[in-house]
Amino acid sequence: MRSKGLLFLLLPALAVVVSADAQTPALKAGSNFHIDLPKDSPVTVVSVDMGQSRAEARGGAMMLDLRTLLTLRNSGSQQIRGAALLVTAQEVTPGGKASVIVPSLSVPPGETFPVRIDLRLLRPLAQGNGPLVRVSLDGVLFDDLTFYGPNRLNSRRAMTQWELEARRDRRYFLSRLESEGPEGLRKELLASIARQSERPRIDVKFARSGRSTNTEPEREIKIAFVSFPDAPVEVLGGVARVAGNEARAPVIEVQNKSDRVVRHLELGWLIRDRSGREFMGGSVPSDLVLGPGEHSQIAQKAALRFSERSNSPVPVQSMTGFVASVEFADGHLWIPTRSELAHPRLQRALAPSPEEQRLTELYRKKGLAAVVEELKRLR
Amino acid sequence: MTHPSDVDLALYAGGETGRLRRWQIQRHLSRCGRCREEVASFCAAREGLRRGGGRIPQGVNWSRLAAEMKANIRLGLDAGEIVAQPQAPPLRLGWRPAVALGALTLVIVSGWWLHLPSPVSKEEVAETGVVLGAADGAIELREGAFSLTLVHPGAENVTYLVDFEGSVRARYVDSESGQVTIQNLYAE
Repeated sequence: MRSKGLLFLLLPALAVVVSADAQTPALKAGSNFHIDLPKDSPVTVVSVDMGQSRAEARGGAMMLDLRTLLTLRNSGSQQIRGAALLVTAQEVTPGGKASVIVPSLSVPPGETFPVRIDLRLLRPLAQGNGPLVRVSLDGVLFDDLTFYGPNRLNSRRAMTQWELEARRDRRYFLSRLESEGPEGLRKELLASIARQSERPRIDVKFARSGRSTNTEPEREIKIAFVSFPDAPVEVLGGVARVAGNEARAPVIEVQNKSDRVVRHLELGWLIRDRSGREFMGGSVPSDLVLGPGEHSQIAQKAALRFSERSNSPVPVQSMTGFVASVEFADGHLWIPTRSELAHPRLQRALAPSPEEQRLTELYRKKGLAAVVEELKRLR
Repeated sequence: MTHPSDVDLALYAGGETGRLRRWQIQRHLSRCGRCREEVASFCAAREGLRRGGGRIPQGVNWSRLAAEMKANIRLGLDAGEIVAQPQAPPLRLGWRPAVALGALTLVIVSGWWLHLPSPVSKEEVAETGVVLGAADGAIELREGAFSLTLVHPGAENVTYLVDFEGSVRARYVDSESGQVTIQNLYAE
């Protein structure tokens, strides 16, 4: 009698748990998550691990928590150096899309490599029942820097730049190994790790609004520039509007010093706050057509806001720019050399290349021998 | 019209009601003649008792009277015990039902709390249109009630980059594969 009474009391609790669990159904590939690769794709899907992915209703919203590990196979005939996946959830975020890119790869034909996609979506409940997430291939970069894919996100340019940086940095570390031995290489890796740990960590937010929402009065400041002698594009000057921790609407004058047509330019920004601390504030990418010797103006209307991890604002005192990359009309890219990036202000504030980050992480996890072996393997 | 009980009127006549009840009865008496007469008779009885209380009537044996009164009271109580229904013991839950009820309460309260909408900060309300952000552990794109967040929990040395064209990037080395992974969000 007593046990029956106890069960009666527990039944409502069980009902709540079961119904709550019924509201958080596990996601299945195909119904909520769809992967779309073309028939002639150089990569194929080997497996999709949805892990702890869930969709649940919360109040008036649907929340999708996706924890996915894709395993892809190189089904082509060339070594893969990078892969970019486009992630769309148009029913969820009509204003945007996402991508996950894995650069600095070295995947021979027939081998597999993982790509992790961890994301969270939030949308009003009454929005429709189609697949919540679609993943498609934006591009694959091969060893000879050729590219396959629709390139809707300009991933070809980004992956080519990272691959050029990777080759530059591997050559640099290899030269240290050959000239100064393993201990010379170790010193360089430790110096890189130290710079990475000392780099200021600032949160940055982008807002498309053209008006300042800051309470401090807005002022116009001139942007200083670090010049690289062999850069094909020279920055002649620039200004931006600054109010408190917000910098917006930069206007920059540039000139093509080369004899080739430039079609894309990316400028990096360093921000100095009122305490003299300098950090990487963001970048100003620009598609443009700049013939040899021509001038042009780059103007952006958006705003960037800077804050500490504790959310307290970081007031902007001054800004310095530099040419981060140039793409020519023939598809070739220019990037700064390591000696140009060794400028003290840039070295303190800039993040290392993806390859340098990977090699220093390899050193931390597996030691110097692993890095030496990796450098020699990818020579 | 609702009249106060005889007990309330008697207590009022003896000045033994609380302030609020006295005020309520006074309001009633100002409109009800019948209750005023009742209060007056209670006052008269009290006055009569007060005047006559100092004298015991002649021929009354108080000791015998007191003994009889006590006997009657005792008899009445004994009779009352025989006639009254047996009182049920007070309801007491054992520890098992108490634990089950406590768990049920916790489940219900937790479910209610989890379904509460997230509070919106003033900063969020002030921002309109597409907002991109990079913060520790994630990059986020928000537009109204929609949001898309790319997370990288537990990743170390994450590098963030935001550009003026409307994209945000997070770069880190995946601890399991050792591969560099770059997450991007683009505002259209």
